[in-house]
Formats: sequence, structure tokens, C-alpha cells
Amino acid sequence: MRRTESKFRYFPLYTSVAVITFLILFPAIFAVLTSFKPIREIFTYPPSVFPHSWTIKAYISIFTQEKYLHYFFNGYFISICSTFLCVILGSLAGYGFSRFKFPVNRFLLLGILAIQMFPGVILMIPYFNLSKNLGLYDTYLILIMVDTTFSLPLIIWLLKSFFDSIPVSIEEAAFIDGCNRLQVLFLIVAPLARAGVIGTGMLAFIRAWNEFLFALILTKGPERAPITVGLAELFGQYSINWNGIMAISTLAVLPLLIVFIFVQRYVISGITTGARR
Amino acid sequence: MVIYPLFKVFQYSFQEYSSQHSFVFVGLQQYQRLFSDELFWVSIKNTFLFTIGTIVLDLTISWGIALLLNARWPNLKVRNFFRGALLLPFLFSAPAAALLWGILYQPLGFLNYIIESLFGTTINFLGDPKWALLSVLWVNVWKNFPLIMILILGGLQSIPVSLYEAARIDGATRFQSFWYVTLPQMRSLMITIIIIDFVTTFIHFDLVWTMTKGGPLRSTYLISFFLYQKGMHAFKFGYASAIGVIIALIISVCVGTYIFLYSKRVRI
Repeated sequence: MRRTESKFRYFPLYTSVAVITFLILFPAIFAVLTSFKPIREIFTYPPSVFPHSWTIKAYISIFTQEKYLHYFFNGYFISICSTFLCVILGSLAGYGFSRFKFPVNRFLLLGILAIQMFPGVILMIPYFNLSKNLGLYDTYLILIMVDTTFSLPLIIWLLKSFFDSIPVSIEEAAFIDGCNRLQVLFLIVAPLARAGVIGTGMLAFIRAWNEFLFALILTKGPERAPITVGLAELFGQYSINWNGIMAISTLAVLPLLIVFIFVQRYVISGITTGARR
Repeated sequence: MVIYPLFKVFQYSFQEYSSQHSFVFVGLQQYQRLFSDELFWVSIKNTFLFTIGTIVLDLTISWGIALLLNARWPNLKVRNFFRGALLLPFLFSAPAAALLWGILYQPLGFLNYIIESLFGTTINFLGDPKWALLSVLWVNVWKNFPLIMILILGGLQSIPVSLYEAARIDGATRFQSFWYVTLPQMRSLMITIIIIDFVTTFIHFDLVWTMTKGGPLRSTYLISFFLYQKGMHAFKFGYASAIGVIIALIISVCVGTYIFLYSKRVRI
């Protein structure tokens, strides 16, 4: 390959990718900028992108409304619980599938794969009825259970493939030193497969944080509903405070964004490992 | 958590939920009623339009960007920065994405301002039956494509360089090496992606519920929204379960094909 061309050779590549990235991120940029606008600038026509005078009034008003504090707290609580459950159960199952070769493994793994692709939507009615009958309607528990159920198959598959890449000989050393299976898994194998565990945990968190359908039908108000329901409720109330709405949307994505920046590498490897199976 | 409710759906679909809070067996009546329901066929049609449109747009955009990102970058850090930035829409929940685009779609919003200054006319994105489905579809594509882009990029990068070198030695042009090396190598991944995209889009619910509630003029009535309306609003559990069974049958064909192809390709 010739490598002596001028620096400008890559100019078209850089600019085209930069322009595409800008266009794709524009709605998000616009939203963040809108959230800093004062209310009188929302309905100017032609609409402006940048606020003329910056203000954080919209954010302050969110933190003074108890309803939204509830929504955010519920979102965090449900997602974090479900993430932990997913990682713990997923590690146990993934480790089992990776290390013990039972004849039914193949059947079970394919079954799990089928469940992963299976749409939750059609289970809406049984879940609704069951949660009513069991007294779980409008509780954290049912939402945590649902989120875990629908993320776990993916997590098991991913963690299995990560555990597969850890040599068994390391474990044998630990067994000789007197560890039992669980200690081996949580003290040796899981830390070695750190990248995989963090990435899959992050995927579980994203999925739980963004889950909407079951949060909608299994709760009845801000007492237990997570932030997705709070956001959906805002749409179509064509009220005037678009800056407030954009501030809430920004806050709802912010936790994912912050975590994502730190663990981006792991998430990407998690996704691609999932597909290459 | 999945098998038992699934069994329940089948059971409900042959029953009628009465006001005394009990189920009565009615045989195939629910299905008869369903197939003569005009709204059912409308939502099936919308769902197929929505799904096929999403898959086509998803694949076009993802392939374009993945190929750009897969080109020879002088600085990998810059490329990884763009890759991370392009993944961001993936982080948005459906309601958050709906709100973001909702403000742009406003009748006097930013998009209409641009369209008016370019073409001298405006579009009522969510209010016009001709545009509503497309507008919702576009938000879905915006939210979905990063995942597919990352998958395609991962696939492109796992093609061994030696294949391209061999092609170059044989005197292949760029297009030829793309056509005869890249595409065949990507075939099984593409089938996987199309099936996954189909399965997830076919049952799409979140954006329609948030943005249009099936309207205007039922132009965005998707099948899962139809199920929701019948089940959670009209409380016709039997009828809604019959819809659920129909969806399950369509999805099972896809999932079955996928599992079959997968189990042939990989030894577990």
C-alpha cells in the first residue's frame, strides 16, 4: 500500500463521518440546548438552536416536584436490583453451562435463546392477571422480576461465552487450595472475566432502565413507576414547558451516558460477542 | 416466568372473560371474531409496512456507516470516538426518544422550519395519516440502527485480512473484493440481523403508544398496540390473547428458522 499521500487524503472520510455523526446526534444536542432555554424562547419562530440567555430553572423545577423524584428513584432502584440479580444468576447459569457438559445442555441453551427472542408483548395479559392475583400489582418486586426474566437469557449466553475463554487449569489450582465451586466462580473466574461481566451488567442496566411496556401496565402511578413512564406521560400533553420536558429527558439519559463513557469498550465487546455466536 | 404465562395466553384465547371475573370456554369464537375484524387487518398491514421499512432503513444506514468506520483510519482513537458517539441513540429509552423527536416534529418546530425554507411547505409529521407511520418509523430507526451498525462493524472486522490480500493478488478491483469477499463472509450474520430486527420490530409498541396512540385515522395502529387496546383498555382478555397467539405464531416461524440455522452452524 502507498503510504506517502498527503494528510488531506483522509479529509473526505473525516468530514463525512463527522457530518453524519452530527446529524444523528442533532436531536440530542437540540434537546440539551432546549433544556437551558427560558420559557419565553421556546415558541419563537423561526426556532433558534442556541438559547439567547441560559437558565437552569427547568432543572430546579424538576427537583422540587416530588413526582419526578419518585420516578427517578424507582427507576434507579428497579434497574440496580435487576442488574445485580441478572449478573449473579447469569454468572451461576453461564458458569454451569460452560463447565458442566450435560446432554440436555444443547436443548436448554437453544431454549434460552428462543426465550430471549420471544416477544414480551404477548405475555402482557397473563402478567397483568398473575400480578393482580398474587398481589404483586404495583410493586417493585414484579418489575424487578420482569426485567430480570427478559434480560437473563442474553446475559447467560454472553457470560457463558466469556467463561468459556477462561482456562480450566486456573480453577484446578484453586480447588487444590481448598476453594469450593462458588468461591471459584465469584473469586476467580468472574474477576478474570471482568470485561464480560461489566459489559453484560451494563447491558442489563440499560435494558432495565429503558423498559417501558411492563412498567406501564403493572404500575398505576408515580409511587412505583420508573422514569420511562414519567417521560411517556409527558408526551402529547402539549403544554408549554418543553424546556422542562427536555430537562427531564436529559436527566433520564444522563446516568446511562456517564456509565457508558467509562465502560464503552466492554459494552461493545458484549454486543459483538453476542452476535458472533 | 415465560412458559407458564405463554400457556395461559393459549388458554385464554379460547375463553371469554365475563363480568363475574371468571373465564368461560368459547372454542374458536375469538379467532372467528378476530379474522372478521377490520381493525385487525389494518394493524397487520401497518405492522408489516413498519417492520419492512425499519429493516430496510436500518440496514442501509448501518451498512453505510459501518463501511465508513471500517475504512483505513489513520488514527484509531478518532474512529473509536465516532463509534462511541454514534452509539448514543441506543441509550435512549423509547419515551425519551419520542420526546426528543416530538419537539422537532412540532408543527412549528425546527424540522418544519428547515423544510419550509427549502420547499416552501410544511409537514404535519404526527398529525397527517400519510406521514405519521413514517415519522414514528424514523424514530425507531434512529434508536435501533447503532446496535446493527456495531454488529455489522464487528462482522466486517472479523473477516481475515488474508482474504482481501488474496483477492488483491488475483487482481480484484475494490468493488469485486467487496462483492466476492465481504458479502459472502457476512451472509450468515446478515440473516441473523434481519431475523432479530424483524422479531423486535414486529412487536413494536413503545413509540406508538407514546407518540401517536394508534392515530391519526388508525394509520399507526400496530398489532401489539391493538393487543394492548383490547386487553388493557377494553379488558377483552380472551380476544386480546387470540391476537397474542397470532403474533406468537408469526414470531415462532422466525425464531424457529433462526434456531434451526444457528444449531446447524454452531456446535454447542
